[in-house]
Amino acid sequence: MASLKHRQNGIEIISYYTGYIVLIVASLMTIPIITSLLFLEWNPMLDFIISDAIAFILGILMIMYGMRSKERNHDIQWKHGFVIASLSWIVLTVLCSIPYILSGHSLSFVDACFDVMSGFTTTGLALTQDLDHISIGLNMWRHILTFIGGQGMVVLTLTFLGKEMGGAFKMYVGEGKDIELVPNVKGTARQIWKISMIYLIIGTIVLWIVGMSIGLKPVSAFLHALFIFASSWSTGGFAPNSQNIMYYHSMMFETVAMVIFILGSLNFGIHYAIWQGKRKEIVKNIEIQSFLVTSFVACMLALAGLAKLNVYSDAIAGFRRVIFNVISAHTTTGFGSIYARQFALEWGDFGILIMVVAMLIGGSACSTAGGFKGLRVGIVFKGLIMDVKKLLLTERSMNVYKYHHLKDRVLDDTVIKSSAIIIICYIVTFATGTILGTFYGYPISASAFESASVTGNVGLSIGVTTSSMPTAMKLFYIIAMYLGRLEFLSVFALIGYFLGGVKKACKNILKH
Amino acid sequence: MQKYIKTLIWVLLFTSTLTFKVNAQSFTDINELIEKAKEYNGEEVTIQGEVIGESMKRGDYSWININDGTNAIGIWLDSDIAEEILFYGNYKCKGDTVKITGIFNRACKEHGGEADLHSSSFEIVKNGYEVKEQISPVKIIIAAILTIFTLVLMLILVKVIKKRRL
Amino acid sequence: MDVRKKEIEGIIYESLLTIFYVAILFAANVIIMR
Repeated sequence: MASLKHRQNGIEIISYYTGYIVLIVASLMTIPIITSLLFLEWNPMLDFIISDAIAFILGILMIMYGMRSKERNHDIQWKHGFVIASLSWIVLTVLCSIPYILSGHSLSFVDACFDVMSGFTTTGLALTQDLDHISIGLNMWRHILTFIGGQGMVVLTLTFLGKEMGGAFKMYVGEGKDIELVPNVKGTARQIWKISMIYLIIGTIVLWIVGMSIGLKPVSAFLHALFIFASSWSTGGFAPNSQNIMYYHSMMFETVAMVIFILGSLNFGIHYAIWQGKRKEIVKNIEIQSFLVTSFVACMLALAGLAKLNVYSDAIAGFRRVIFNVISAHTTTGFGSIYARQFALEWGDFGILIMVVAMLIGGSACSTAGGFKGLRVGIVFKGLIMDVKKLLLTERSMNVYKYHHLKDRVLDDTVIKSSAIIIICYIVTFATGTILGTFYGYPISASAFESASVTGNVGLSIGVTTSSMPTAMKLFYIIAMYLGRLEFLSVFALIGYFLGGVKKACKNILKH
Repeated sequence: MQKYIKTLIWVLLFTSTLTFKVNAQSFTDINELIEKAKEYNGEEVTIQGEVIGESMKRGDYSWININDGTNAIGIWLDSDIAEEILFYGNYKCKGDTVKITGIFNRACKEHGGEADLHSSSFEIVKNGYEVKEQISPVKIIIAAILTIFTLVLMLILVKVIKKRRL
Repeated sequence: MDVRKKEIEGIIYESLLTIFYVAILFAANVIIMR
């Protein structure tokens, strides 16, 4: 049957490319192996060797399965691209959780997967136990996961295996990006990596110097700098110690991290444009405009609201505890400069609501950030203004409305519609998470806060996320982080593809 | 009369043992400080926990971080005293267990609104130590077997790819 | 190496603008916290 062959071919294509992505990420697992070796951490080194071997074996088997049929029909369609992107994230979540499980720092398999998904999606919520005593190797791994997740595992793979990747663009879009910096996808992936690696070097050096100046010893200052850079740039929010950014007790350190995470939350297309000398982009771009407005307003409202409650007494505290956290939330980073429970106990409902909205709006499209994305908020907002203008102007005038995002673009109904639909998907996910929290007895403000943090891949916690949280909530949060990061479509494609296969299998069974 | 005095003595003894029992945990959980931050704000409290990470010297005073299993908090103390600490908790070491008394600040004015503790009295209750790693031979064997299997598979893959190219 | 120069200028430009925005936030914060 032609369709059966078609489907078999599809499965092989998916297996082949997913296998390659697994292989590339498996290669990265050698970094923690070397790290643990350097620091003489034997158990973690063995844990990573075992995990790495399993990952390589699975990757190779998937590639070989994908090469089964004699003819190479690599006609990758959109559905394949999307399924590859979403499936590889699931496979990698399980594989990359193995080191956590072997380390004993995760209380269950679900907890370990939660932490990995939190890393990949650059969320930053953690269920890892006893962070202050984990090995440097495992800490290195956590921060690698968030750095890779920020760029994207598909993007990482595309950098290396351009020649093999026929439907490269389709996989790239499947992972939630659509900006083409240069006309080919491999080149775009390379540029994204180049920008990140250059900032990695600069940012780590700056944080290293600051770290030493605040009293950290040279080697540990370097590790902290590297980890905090990875977490800031990827807008992840992991930190090597349980106190998160509070461990450092330093306004300088926090502020440098803030500059990095704001930069990291920007669209890679913007970075590329500016690096090419197109400086006007930063003022004309709709996302920058959107972010400046929403983040400034959010900060001011939060400050005013908290000042009313007398939570913080002076400007320095206002900057370090309010502005830092609001910007951390808005860029979907997730570094917290106060204890999670303090949001619940000291900020009051108004402060919490401002945080919820900031977390949901999120950062820029095609960046490491999460949330609705400033681009969509800007488009929908401008679309609203456009509709109002159309009503007010004479019916005969035919105006074309535009917005600027790397280049001038037409603000037409299709663009507005697709932005609005994705925003609705985010809102539904957020609402479901909130309802689920209240079902399990958490107060509504706390449920909303945590749900927004998860949906927007932020990582700030109000105290709901703990190991003792109901498993259903852990599972929902994992799914929500995943949906949020991949922007829904590729996950829906994966589900649809899978269900399509189930339906066909059922039909075949019924026929006989 | 004697019976009354005896009963009185027993009652006094009994209540005094109760008081001793209550004083058995004379320190507060760090998490409790955070949960009841408004109540404890500005109060003198005592905490006990493991020193983790490292100290950060800021001139005459330093920061150390204490984790007592319920949560972790920063302690602002005299640099000279901080230098008494021998072991800091991390993967390889269990840090010194210290008992610290000081003022808890919900949003310290001196430190930009941070929740911290300014130490007035510091005592090393238990010394830390290096933790010896226990490596199970089973793990080594599994790691070795899996590595060999991986390398074999890699060779097979390379062969398959070469064959395809022909 | 004109490309290199543009990139370096770009990095400095972006970083400075971001620091500038953070400074604005701080200034506005000082005003509100009075």
